[in-house]
Amino acid sequence: MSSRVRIRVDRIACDGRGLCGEILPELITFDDWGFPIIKENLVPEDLDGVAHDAVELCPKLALRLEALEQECCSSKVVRTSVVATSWTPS
Amino acid sequence: MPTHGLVLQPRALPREERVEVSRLLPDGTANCAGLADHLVRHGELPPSRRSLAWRETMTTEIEHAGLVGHGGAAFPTAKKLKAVISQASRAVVIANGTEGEPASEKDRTLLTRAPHLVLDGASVAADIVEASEVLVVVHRDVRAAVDAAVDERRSAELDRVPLRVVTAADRFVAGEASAVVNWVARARPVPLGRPPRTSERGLDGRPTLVQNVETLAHLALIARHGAAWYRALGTPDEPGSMLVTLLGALEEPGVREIEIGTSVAEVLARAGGPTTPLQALLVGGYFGSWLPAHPTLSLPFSARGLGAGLGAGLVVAFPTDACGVAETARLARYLACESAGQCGPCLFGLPAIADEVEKLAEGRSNRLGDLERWLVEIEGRGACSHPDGVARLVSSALRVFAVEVAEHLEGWCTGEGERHVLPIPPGGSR
Repeated sequence: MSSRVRIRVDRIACDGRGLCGEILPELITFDDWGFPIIKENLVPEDLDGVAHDAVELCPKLALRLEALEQECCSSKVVRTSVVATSWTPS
Repeated sequence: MPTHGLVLQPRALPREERVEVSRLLPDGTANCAGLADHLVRHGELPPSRRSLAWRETMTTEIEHAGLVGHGGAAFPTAKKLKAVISQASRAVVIANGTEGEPASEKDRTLLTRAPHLVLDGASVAADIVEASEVLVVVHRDVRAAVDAAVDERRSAELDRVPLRVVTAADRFVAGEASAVVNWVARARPVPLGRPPRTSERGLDGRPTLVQNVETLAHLALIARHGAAWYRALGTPDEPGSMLVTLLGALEEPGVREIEIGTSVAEVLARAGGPTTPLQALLVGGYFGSWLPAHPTLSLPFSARGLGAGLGAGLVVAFPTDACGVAETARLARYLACESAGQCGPCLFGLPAIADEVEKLAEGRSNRLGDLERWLVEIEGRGACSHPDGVARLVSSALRVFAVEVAEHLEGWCTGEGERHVLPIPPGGSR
């Protein structure tokens, strides 16, 4: 078990497509409207590769992994998805 | 307390009476709107404000003072200052007087009765973080008063940096720091995702210090009198005074300044005391917590004393003859409508929560278990803390009004008719 990397959802970018939970059911589940709930945000070492897949495959680029340095409050983004658009209901 | 041998020797001021506090607001109903009156009352700011030593001393004094934000989140001001100072590019200061909380009036009252204290604080903050510009974002009700004050200061050449006044957007989430930046930059008063924080990258990508106007007024006094003076009021954990908006079943509702740690009963006494027996208090804001009248009335008015954040200083005295479930349903619906609609959990979760609380209020609840699960699941799942605030409010209502909830599940309500205590803007916005 490692706590080097933390998974995080950009809630504005996330559209509830659901791929993340399909790929990473160990860490991600869904609410009643299909939006992800991160059950555990620290990524265990053995799920590292799958977590990276989930980040790559999110169609809204809404998932990111952050490297943890010392405390949980100071973290560095190792791979950031650039968010192109956010949407609002018309 | 280290002062680096500089300007901040606390002046010997008389310790205020425990209940009657008038640091920010002038006594009684007097106004201190004009610059001349302001200078008579508070004196000038220290002169050597541009030196590095002064800036460092001020940051330390603010840290020792224990000043926290009075917009709602109670974030330590010194921490925010340091975050902005640590950035390489030129900073901006935003004095946040949006006051999107519909029941709160303290920021507008402060900006009307003592605008120069806020502007002093904004100017000092700009000196500390070496900002090149100050934006003063205020509720439209007080725009004219703030414009007049800024004009006076411009003529007197009081400030190093230019002050620009902007009318705030009129909605609940518009006061959140990133939403204020978004409003000023793009006329879209909705929160931005995090990270980065506004202190790192805010307006035009510049490090941006967003501080509530009351916080800046306190800062202006700390610049004059130092940390020790500031700490002479309040509790060791939560020093100082604060503005509160007192409303509900009270003789003379309105904005008062109180010493933090004063008993809740004494705080209510500042508004003439309750008009009828109380069953509960809503503390903080519409994103705050319901607390039972007993033992809350005898507890100290502080976050530690109440075990609940003081938020934006709202205190609602809720009478025994009103229905807490029905009132919470009204609030939940209002807050659901005020969602910026950007994040799924908020966009879909809040209306579902509001629906369930409304059904509960009408005595036809059938998904109480789902409601309780949603309240837990929604936490921390928005770009801002709007959904968390709604969850806090509704969860506290289910706890504090547990007896009323049980009655409602049986089809009864102990409230008397349609008695509304909490103001909600018509049509969901002002």
